[in-house]
Amino acid sequence: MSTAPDVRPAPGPPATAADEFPAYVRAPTGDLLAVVTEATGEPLGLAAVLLRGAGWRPSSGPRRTQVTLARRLAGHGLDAVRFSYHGLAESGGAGEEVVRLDRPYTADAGAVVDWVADQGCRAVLIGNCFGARTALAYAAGPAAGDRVAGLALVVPPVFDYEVARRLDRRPLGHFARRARLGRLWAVLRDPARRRALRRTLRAFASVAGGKLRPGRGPAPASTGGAAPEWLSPRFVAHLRAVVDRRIPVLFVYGRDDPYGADFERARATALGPLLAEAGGLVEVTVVPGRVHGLTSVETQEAMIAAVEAWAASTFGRRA
Amino acid sequence: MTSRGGRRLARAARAERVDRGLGIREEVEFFGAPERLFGCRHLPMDGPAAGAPLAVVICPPVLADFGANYQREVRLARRLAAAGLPVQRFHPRGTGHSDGDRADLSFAALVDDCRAAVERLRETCGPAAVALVGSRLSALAAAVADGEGGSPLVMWDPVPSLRSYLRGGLRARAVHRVGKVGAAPEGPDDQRARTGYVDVLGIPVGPALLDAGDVPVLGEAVAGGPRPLLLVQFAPGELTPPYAAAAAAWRERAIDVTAAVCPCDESWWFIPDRRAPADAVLDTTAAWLAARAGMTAA
Repeated sequence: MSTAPDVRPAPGPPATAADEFPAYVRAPTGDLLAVVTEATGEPLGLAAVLLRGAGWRPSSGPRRTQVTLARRLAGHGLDAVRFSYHGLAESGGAGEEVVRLDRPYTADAGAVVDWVADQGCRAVLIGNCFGARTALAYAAGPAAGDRVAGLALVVPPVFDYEVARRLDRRPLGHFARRARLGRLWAVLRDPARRRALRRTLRAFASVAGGKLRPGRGPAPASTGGAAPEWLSPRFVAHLRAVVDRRIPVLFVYGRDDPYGADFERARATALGPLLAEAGGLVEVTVVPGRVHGLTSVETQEAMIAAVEAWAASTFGRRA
Repeated sequence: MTSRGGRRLARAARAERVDRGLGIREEVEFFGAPERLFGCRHLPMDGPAAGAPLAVVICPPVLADFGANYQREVRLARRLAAAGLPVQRFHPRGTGHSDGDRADLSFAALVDDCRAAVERLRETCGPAAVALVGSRLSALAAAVADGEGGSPLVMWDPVPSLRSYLRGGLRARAVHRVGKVGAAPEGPDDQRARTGYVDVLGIPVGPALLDAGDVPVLGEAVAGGPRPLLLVQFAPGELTPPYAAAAAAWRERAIDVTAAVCPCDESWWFIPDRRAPADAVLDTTAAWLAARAGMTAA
């Protein structure tokens, strides 16, 4: 695990909007608006595909970090594509009201990777939070083939259900206080809240089941003790698949990220053997602050430097 | 984009999308020089874009408001285009996909960018008149950009002044840092002395905005004379005192003010991961602009 990435000087200058152009990428979910950054350094034949987290904001963010990262990677010889998911910003299609980690937008990711492949490039997927899980799920799937050259996963949650993770953190009294008749009536009248309640109850049953029957959690650990109940079996399976394909992976968490603490807990149990087996293929970098939300400029810089350093050392031309 | 073999694609100057369901087409491009702005035009699919009775430029807010308002602006643009009005959206310099450093954002640049977007719309669509829609700080910029042009002006939840806006940002910064463990959080003055900017929830605000002294307050930002103005308040209840005072000042200067309260559950500085309800804002704005164009809103 590293904490202070040193970025190799880029052979080319950072890109500007003059090195960029917009393009619509056709996806089964709708036409996705992409902004393409052309390499300013000697081209490596790789394109960074930037996948942002969930939310209703455009592909420049979070906090414009995707713009900064794309333009800096251009200096290292990587083209870059940032795009808005279906139903968001300038993209077409209908978006979902609720974004779920167990339903990543792999069709969107696949369409952009296909587009990149049509230009003669392999993709380096760089995802943030939900985008990281989408990148991982796509890279692990059959459609990816050999089109993915690397994966940078920035604060990926290691659970599928936020509600399940919260259930595990909060005392039962918290839920008892919320179980008022008026609230229940309001939930039952609203279809979206009814669906959310069903998910909550399923998650509650899963967590309760795991507590009653320890060892039935996902991906039983061969060493290091039982896996936490909330650890996503999909996450573990996807990581296993990309390790088997020998795809280099970078994890970036912040020192203050609850998701990072979750990752460390999973690493101490079920993920440990897998990461040990992966060896140098998987790097984990922890930067100061909280990467999820990126509400500090210094943390943004540290996150970008971590990805830039990894990309330069993994894919950059050797002197 | 360049493959390892060195093949470089001919890049299209703009990307286009046709939405047959809505009956619109959208053109995305970078425009302006030397610093380039990201822009998107939303156009009626069949209607003549050239010679439309009214076209609309949406001036997006900045800092944290930029993302919070984004989807509302896209929805408004698509709705107006479906009703026959060409719409130009853009990202101001230092924001979104456009050129420029975030810490260099200034009110003067924001005004210039609003004007550049109006110019771009006129170049491409040649409308008879251009209405401006501005939110928060950009509502003041839109008003200044038009000057005495007398264009229809829509202000979504405008800030009463730059000072009050920055105060709100610094309050949000302080609240955000309350729960931090470890060393006492750095104050804004110390941070500015060390870095040259104040970090407001992950956005560097530099001296160009912090020290701007030439930004008019809300009541004075709109030039006098006969012009229609729609003021939309997002908070529920009566018009807040700053808005009521501004509306009174405008009416004294012969501005035809319509004030609307469209409760929107918008917290601005703190953006939760949800789409703020906006139907009332969109309905009110689309109907008002369509009436200015002598049309019926979709």
